[in-house]
Order: sequence, then structure tokens, then C-alpha cells
Amino acid sequence: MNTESAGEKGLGHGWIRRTWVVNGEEVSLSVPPLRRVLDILREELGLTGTKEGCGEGECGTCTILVDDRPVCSCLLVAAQVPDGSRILTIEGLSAMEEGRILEAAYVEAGAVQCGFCIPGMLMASYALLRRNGKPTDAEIREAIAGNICRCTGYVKIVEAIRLAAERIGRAPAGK
Amino acid sequence: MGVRVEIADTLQQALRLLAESEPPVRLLAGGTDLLVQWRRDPPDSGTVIVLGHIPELQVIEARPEGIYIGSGATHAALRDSALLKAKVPAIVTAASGVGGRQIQSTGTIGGNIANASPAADLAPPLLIADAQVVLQSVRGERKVPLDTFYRGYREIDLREGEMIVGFLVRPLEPGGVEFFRKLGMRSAHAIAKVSVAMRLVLEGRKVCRARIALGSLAEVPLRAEEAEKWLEGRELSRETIQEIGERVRAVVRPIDDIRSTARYRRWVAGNLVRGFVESLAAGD
Amino acid sequence: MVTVTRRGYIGLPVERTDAIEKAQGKAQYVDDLRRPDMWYGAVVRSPVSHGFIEGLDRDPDFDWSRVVLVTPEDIPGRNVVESLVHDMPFLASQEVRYRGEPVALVAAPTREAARAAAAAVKPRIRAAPSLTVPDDVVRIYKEGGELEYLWRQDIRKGDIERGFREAEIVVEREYRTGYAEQLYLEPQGMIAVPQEDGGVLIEGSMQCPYYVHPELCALLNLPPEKVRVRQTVVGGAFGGKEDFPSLIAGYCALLALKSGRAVKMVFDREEDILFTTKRHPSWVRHRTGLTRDGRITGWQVDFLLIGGAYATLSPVVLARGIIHATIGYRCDNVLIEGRVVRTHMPPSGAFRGFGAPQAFWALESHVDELAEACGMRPDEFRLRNAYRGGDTMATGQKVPEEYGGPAVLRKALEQSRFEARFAHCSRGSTLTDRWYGIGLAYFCHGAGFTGDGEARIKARAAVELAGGGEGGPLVVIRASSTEMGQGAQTVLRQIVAEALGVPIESVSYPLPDTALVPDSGPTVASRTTMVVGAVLYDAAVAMKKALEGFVSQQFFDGADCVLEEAVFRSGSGQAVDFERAVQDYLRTAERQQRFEAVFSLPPGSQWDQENFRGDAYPDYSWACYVAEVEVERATLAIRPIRVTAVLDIGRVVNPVLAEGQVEGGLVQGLGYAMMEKVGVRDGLFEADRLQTYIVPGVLDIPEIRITFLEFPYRYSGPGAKGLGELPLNGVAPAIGNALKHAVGRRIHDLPLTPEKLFRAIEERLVEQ
Repeated sequence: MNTESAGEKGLGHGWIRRTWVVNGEEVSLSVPPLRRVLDILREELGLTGTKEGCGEGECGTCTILVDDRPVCSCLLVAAQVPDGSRILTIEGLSAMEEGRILEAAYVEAGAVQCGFCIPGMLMASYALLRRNGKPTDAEIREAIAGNICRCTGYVKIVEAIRLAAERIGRAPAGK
Repeated sequence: MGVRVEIADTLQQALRLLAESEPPVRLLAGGTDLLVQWRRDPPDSGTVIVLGHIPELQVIEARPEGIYIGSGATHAALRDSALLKAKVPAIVTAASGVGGRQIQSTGTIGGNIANASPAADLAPPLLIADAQVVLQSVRGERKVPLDTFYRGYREIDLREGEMIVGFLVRPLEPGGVEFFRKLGMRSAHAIAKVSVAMRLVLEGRKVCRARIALGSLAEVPLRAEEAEKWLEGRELSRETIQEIGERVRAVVRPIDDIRSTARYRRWVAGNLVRGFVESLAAGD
Repeated sequence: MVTVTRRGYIGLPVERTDAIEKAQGKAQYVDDLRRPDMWYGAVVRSPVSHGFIEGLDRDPDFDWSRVVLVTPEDIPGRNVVESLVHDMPFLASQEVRYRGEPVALVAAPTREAARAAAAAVKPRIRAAPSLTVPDDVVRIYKEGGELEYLWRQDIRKGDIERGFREAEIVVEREYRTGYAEQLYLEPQGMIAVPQEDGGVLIEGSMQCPYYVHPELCALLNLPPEKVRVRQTVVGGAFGGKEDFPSLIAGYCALLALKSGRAVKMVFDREEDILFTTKRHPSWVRHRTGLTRDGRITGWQVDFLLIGGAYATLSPVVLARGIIHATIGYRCDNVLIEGRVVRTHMPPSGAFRGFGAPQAFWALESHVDELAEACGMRPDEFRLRNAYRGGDTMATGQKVPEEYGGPAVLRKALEQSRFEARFAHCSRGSTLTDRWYGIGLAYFCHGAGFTGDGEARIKARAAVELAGGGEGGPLVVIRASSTEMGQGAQTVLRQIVAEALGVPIESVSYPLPDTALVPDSGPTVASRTTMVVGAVLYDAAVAMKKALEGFVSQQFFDGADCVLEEAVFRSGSGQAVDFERAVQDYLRTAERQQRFEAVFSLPPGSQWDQENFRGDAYPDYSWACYVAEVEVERATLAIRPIRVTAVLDIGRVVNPVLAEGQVEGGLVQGLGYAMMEKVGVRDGLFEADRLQTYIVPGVLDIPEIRITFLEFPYRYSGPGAKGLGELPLNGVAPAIGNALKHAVGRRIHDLPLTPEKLFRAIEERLVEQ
């Protein structure tokens, strides 16, 4: 626990207790109320798969799912996330069948270069595929319009999502 | 030391906290604007009230006096609302263009307006729907038309202890059509350098009612009232189409900044309005 | 479309080595690492652009009990960055030369505490006049006013006076580009860990471990063996992590040695944009003499780059810029005058292309203007003037009989149906809502270091035999080339596997660690696949020979054998498995396990560094882009709809990775062409975050069609040439030329925005 942060500028006075379901497991912690969920994941929970690219919601690198919705964890503080919220990070997605299919598709399509945007990209891809199993190219693009990749030029990322959608569609039902 | 943080789970609680907390008091909803500002300038005193999931602030529904949109409705909720799509479609178009999906998940309509930016994406579509801002405090409720709610650059008519709880908007009339277009520095996920919303109610080729609102074209989101009045009662003729762009250009007060130039903004605002009117004329 | 020759692993789209770990979020970037008892560092920066330091005040109300402060007096060794020109201190001690220049360092137990401590140190500085705004520099330069130059270099060929005497038409134009930010998604970061022997271990995000290593030895006054530099997974670099990491590594090391603890420093995005290197802004004037039938008789280029407070890499950026300033076109009389101006801004530095994008923005815009001046189509003019075999370039370098240039040009024109599409242009017609335009750029990139750079570096790399076992590798690559997303790890493994004749799974390439790898030169200049790949190929061939000799003696009674597909086979059909042979081979310790090779330039290469005469690069990669754009009449919004890209990068080692480089470089180039812009205000970069520095998103990209034509590098086993930078070089002029075609007016300065287009055609639009 990082005691130094208590009462520090910008984090809010005191501590709040939060109980969330992170990647399927219940987690309880005491945190400064304005501590970013990104920092809690990375520093308190050791879930460093979620990366910080800009800190202001512009690059989508820190995308996680909260109650199935994609959000930027750099623009979300502990006090905004009520008890019982379900948080999914790349570590959790990785353990799921859809996650494995998505990862494999990204690797196969050559969609991974420096890799820094990729966890956020995968979270955004999954958020799309769980509500829309047969996305059009336009829908794929729209779903990752909030994610910046500086390496790939996006071509192979779009291909990877298309490939994953086909495979998830073909995979036996039941999650 | 440090700012106090309170979490409000009901509207009553939020209003009481607003009245009783140590000032300065700030309301944190989605946080997509505020948390960005706090990165550079974090609050160090007073109180932050975090608005939790408060059901009455999430409401989107048809009421006798109009369509009601709770201030806590997220851009995602606006984007996905069938009611809004049918009755105030420009709001849906604008909400779909706020940031990316991630920002749409958390950012709220109340926050978009309370942030008081002249570039607020939802301001023009609300203005053309004659939106009333519904404000509450422990003292009671107040309704203010959105166009007078904006007082000046980053200044709104929000009194101490008050919060925006929702917006009341006029549904699209029969024969009405809405238009929204935003230009940014890239195709998506960009702050508006120009935005235009219009609602025209037509009878045949005659314009019965006109609303034109503009973003990033003045120190506040702007309604082009003189241009609206000029347009009302006119036929969608060549002359009307020629003239309306100029009328709009005459009312805007754009500036040069990091995103665009005043001259371009003025010119393009006129073109977008003219283009919409032209497309209606051609479509008939 | 990819048409590449496959030869074993070379030409095979092998999946990336590092992709799965990255996709699972398991790859460890520097900010993901923690070391025991680690503190965080922060930088105290100058509040003014120029001035003289009179002292540092520490806020007396601040709690300094858990803070370590480092000032220039604490530096044990030399307070100067040793790169090309020794003019930049690690910490300014007397004069500050840009706003934000580091003057002191702090470390504290948390990031927040370190930042607060840095803010509580106030440098007292007597301010002096400063020069920060690129427009001011250009104005002063054109007025002939006084400027300080960080570097100058000219190139002369033939007789420029004569060139203009022979001219029937003279075209003179100026072209501008601004600052641009690499915007690697992973910000700069390092960790320094003090070692028991008084040395230091550096881990972090970098392109060039052997740039960091000697800098730290000099800074810390430590012998080479006491400084160890290890690369962590790098989240993009694009040149931005070429020289800058030496600074941040130095800061962490100074703090670590003074505090006796591990110290981490990771910039946030704002600090990263504000205070690390940018692409040099440029002003280039072309003055060109032509005959009426379109022959270039004389060519004079004034090439001005805006440097920054210190030279750092500016001399070599300028070198590449001027060499590429007229490249590709025949002309007997050339004068290119290059300058880099000193200002009071952070040093401009390396960014993919390294002077070439500025050169090609000017050149390829200008060539279109030349074509127009003599009434030719842009494609006709280029075909008429492109180098032919035996021609000489501006430096006197001889063009080989067969090279990729004309081939890529013809192929791109044919695939895009350029001639037909060029004919049906809208040229600003008022009858349509959207204007269509098509434009091309023909360009190249000198592969490897400029001039005798490769001869001086003598890149070394090695392959080592390992025990295998438990699925471990049998062969380990020892090279200092870094994986930063471009695919070096995968491609170099392919080359070694190919040279040896073993499966790629047998070959591993761990992240470089200066304690274990030789200096293969920096991972820059599009040199890794071509140069280090060539060296590793040779090293692997030596290893293969040694193993074949061993197996022949050990197993086949001296009969010759060949290693192929992981099996040694003799002429008489005997066979021994690779793994078994290696294990036998390693059983005796005296046998050579490590096979090292060194790069050498093509035979007969010559270079005169003073006069810039001779063979500027070992070889060149060539490309032609044809861009098609649409402009919406009502808003002048510019939409690139298609780019046809044909490239000769020599042998394509991995077609999927190569396509990825082209797509990525092309989209980065699109950002440079159309949206990326960093102004200067009060001595700071104005666009200092992602909300204001806009880079392309997925909805901004056009359809991209890629074709590779292979004209291999003749002096290496793999035959690959440079790829990394080439794809960015030609995007902006291709779009600019298409835009000119669409609207009938040319924009001479980047980026190409609707606002500039509006200004260029305002009168005409208002008349409508």
C-alpha cells in the first residue's frame, strides 16, 4: 500500500474502501478517492498489462471494461466506480476463449508491432465483438476510433478484428 | 490537507452536499473533461462531489412538456436511444461523434454543458431543440433556456448550490428535419473546430420554423437568431440558398487558435448551413 | 500485393517472436518494472529560454528529508554529452539555452513526491534574449540577418553558373515544414540500479544501448565494465529514442549513485512532448534551370534546418537532407548549401526519415512544378529525368546499371492508371461537390549510415551456440540491435535460421545487454536488416562451416556434409540431427562457441567527408507513391482515398512485417502531411498533449495498395536493403501534388490543412 499518497494533492482527502470484481475475482482495497483506476490496477494490483499512453483519454491505450463498457482507466477515479462493479483488464481477457481468439488473430494478421497500444486495442475489440458478432468494416473502425496506434497504420488491426469475429462466430456457443 | 471527496448516491444527497459542503464545490460526473483539467491543476481545497449512479439523472423519456434527458445520461446512452433518434436526431449524431467509444461510455450530457466550452459537441443540437436547462438546488427547481444559460466565455448561469439535473427539449415537429456536422482536425475523436446544427420545419418548400446553432464560432455556443428569423417564411429558392450562408457568416465571432483560423471558420459555417438548405431544396 | 522471392526463411511471413506476449499484456515495458526500494526521479527545468544561472533556491517550507538533489557539482565525470559535437551538458551549470533545459535533478519515494520536490527547487536565472520561433528564423535568414549555425555542409557538382547559362526556363520556389513529434506511445523511461561494485545497471526504453553506455562511462567516470545497459521492451521509438535516452539514463544514474537506491524516471506525455526531440523544421529553396523540352541543366538548393539549442544529431540529419535534396534526377550542375540554425528550443533530432522527409517534401513538390513549367505531365517529366545506369548523383556516386528506381516508378504509374486518371481531373471545377486529384512522389532512402559511417562503426554481431535442452535455443544471436516494434527480433532470427539451415525456433534473440553483446551500431538509419542482417548472415555461415567440419570428422569419417533443415547429411546419405551435433560439439569446452563477423562497405567504396564527394550510401531503397484525394468543396476537408505504393527494399525478408512497416510509415507520413503540427509559444512547443497534437486515427486512413519489387543489395547474403524510414519519406509530396491537381493551387508548407487551402483559393471561392 502506498501510504505516501494519502491526502496528497489531487488524490482527495482520506481513503475509501472499494470492493470490485476484477477479472472475475472479488478485490477489496482502501484507496484515495481520486486515485485513478489505472494506477490502482497497475500499482496496487500489479496488473501492468494496462498501459498509460497520454493520461487524458486521447489514445485509448489504458482501455478496460467496466460492467462491459469500454472506458479509459486514466479518466476514471476510485470514487466513480461503485462497489460490485465488474472490471475486466487484458489479463482477464487473456484468460477467456474470446481473448485467446483475439490475441491469435492479432498475431496472425501481423497487427502487433511495438505492442504498447495492443492491450487497449484488444479491449476495444472485445467490447465490440461482445455486442456485435458480425461487425462490418465500418463498425470495426468506429469501435477503435478512440485508440491510437502509431506503428501499424491500423490496416492489420482491422484485419485482425475481422478475422477474430469470423472465428468467434464459428466457435461453439457458450461462454 | 487535500480536497474532500463526497459520493452522492441519490439526488437529494447530492443537493444537500452541494448546499452544505466546504466551498469551492465541484461536481464530478463522467470526468472526461474535469479529470483532464485536474491533471494540470488538481483541486487542493474545498469539496468534490462524485455523482454516483443516480437513477433520476439517467432518465431519457417523453414527457408532456417535451423530451426529458437527465444530465447523467452518457453519450453512449444518447447514441443508443431510439427515442432520441426519432425525436431529436441531431443529438444522437453529435453524441456518436464525441471522442471514441471509451469517452462515450463515461462522459455525460450534463458535463458536456457544465464544462461551458464553446466547442461542446452537444450544445448546438440542444440549442436547435430549444433546450431548457433544468436546475435544482435544495431551494427548488429553475428552468433556463440554454441560449441564455451561456453568459460568456466559459461562463454559465449556474448559481451557488445548483446543479444541472436535466434538459427539456422540443421534439422534432412533423415536417421537421435536423442536421448536425462537426469538423475536427481528424475524422473522429477530435475537438470541434466548427460545428453546425440545424432544424428546419417545412411546409412544402416553405420554411415555417428555423433553428441554427453553431459551435466553436464564438465565445459561447451560438444561436444564429437573425439568420433563423430571416429564413422563416421563405421558400427554398436559389436566392434563399445563396443568402442564408451570408446571414450566418454575419453573426459568428470566430477566432484564430491552435485548431483553425477565424476566416476559415466563418466561411465554412456559412457553407455548411447553405449546403443543408440546398440539400433540402434538392430533395423535394 | 506482395511478390517476393522465397528462399527458405527469407521471404517467409514468419509470425513475430514478441507478438503474443505483447497481446497478452505480459511484455514488460520499463514502467511495468519495479526494483526493490526504488525511488522516482524528476527534473528541475529552466523557466526561461535563455539566461545565466545565478543559483538554485530550495523552498524552505518543503520537507526535504526524503529527497535527494543532484546539481551539476555532483557529477563525478564529464558534464557533457559526447555524441557528435560536444556542446550539450547533462545539466546546465552556467548558461541555459532552452526553456525546460535540465538544471538539477531530484529523487523521492514516489512519483508525486518527486514532482513536488522538483517544483520546490527554483532556479534563479538572469534572462537573456532568445530566438525560438521558426518563422522568425526563416525571416532573419531570408533578410540576411545574423544567425548562429550549428553546422554547415555544401555539395557541389559540375559548374552551377554554366547550368543556369544553359537554362531556357528557371523555376524558383520555397518549401516549408514544421516541427513534428515522434509520438511513440510508450513515453521515455529508464531505471538505474546501483551495483555493489560501485557501478550501475541501466534498464529502459532505448534504440541504442551503445549510445547510452559510453555516455554514462564519461558522465559517471566509470570504466566500461562497471556500466551495464539493458534494453527493456520498447513501445515505439521512430528516432525519438535514438539519442535522448542517454540523457534520461544519465539522470537516473546520477540520482541512483547519489541516493544508493534504484531510481526510475518515466516521463508523462506532456513532459515527453515538451522536452524531447522533434523533427527539424525546414525551409528549402529550389532554383532550377531547364530546357524547354524538360532537361534539367542547373540545380541550386538552399537547405535550412532549424536545430535547437545544441547540435546533437543535427549534422547527420543535415547530411542526409542535402544528399536527398535533388536525388533521383539527372543533372550535371548542382549546388546544395546546407545549414542548421541554432535557436533556444530543445534540440531537434531524429525522427523516421531523418532529414529526408523535409528534402522530399521540397523536391517532389518542386519536380511537379518543373514539369508544369515545361508543359509536361508529372509522370512524363520524371521518366525523362530519372537517373539512368552510369549517371552520377550530386555527390558523384555512380548509379548502377540496374537499380529499382525506374521500375518502381513505372509499376506505380501502371497500377494506379495514373495517366488516365490524371486526365480526368476536376481542377477546382464548380460543378461538383467533391474535387478529385491524383499525384505522385518518386523517392528513395539511402540505406545505412551516411558516407563512411558504416566503415567507422564496423558493426559487429555474433551467433552463439547454446545447450538447447528443455526447449531452450541452440543458437543465440548476440547483437545490440533493438526491437522497438519494427520486427528486428523476428527478421534477424529468420536470417540466421536461413544461413544455418535450421528451424527458426532453434534461434533466439534476447533483448540486448551490453554485458553480453558486441556493438552492432545503433538501431537507426534503416540499417538493421541490411547491415546487421548481413553481418549475422556471415557469422552464421561461419558457424555452419565449423559445425559441418566437426560433424564430418566426428560422425562421417571425414566425408563432407551439409546442414539443411536441421540435419547434417553426408554425400553417402548418413545423417545427424542438429541438436545432437551441437550437444556433442559443446561437450568439449575449447571449441569455438561464438562466431562473430564485421560489416564492410561494398568493395571500392569511397567517401570524402569534407567535400561530400563519393559513395554516400552503400545502396538505396526506392519507392513511388501515387496518392488520390478528394476535397469536399463546402469545407475543403481533404480525404486521401487511395495510395498505390510500389517499393524496392531489396530482398523482402518477411513480407507481412514489411507491409506493416509500409502501412505504419505511410500513415505516420499522412499525419505529417495533413495534421501534425507543433507551434512554438513562449519558448515552448504549443501542442503539448494528445488533445492538441493530432495524429491519424483509424478513420483517417486511405486504402493502401502495396507492391514490392526486389533489386537485392549485391554485397550481402540476405540481399536486404533499408526499409524503416523509406515509407514515410514520400507521403506528403504525393498528397500535396494530388491536392494541387484537385484544386488547382499548390500549398508550399506542411501540414496541408483545409485552412491553408482556403487561404490559397479564398478569392476564387468568395467569387463563387
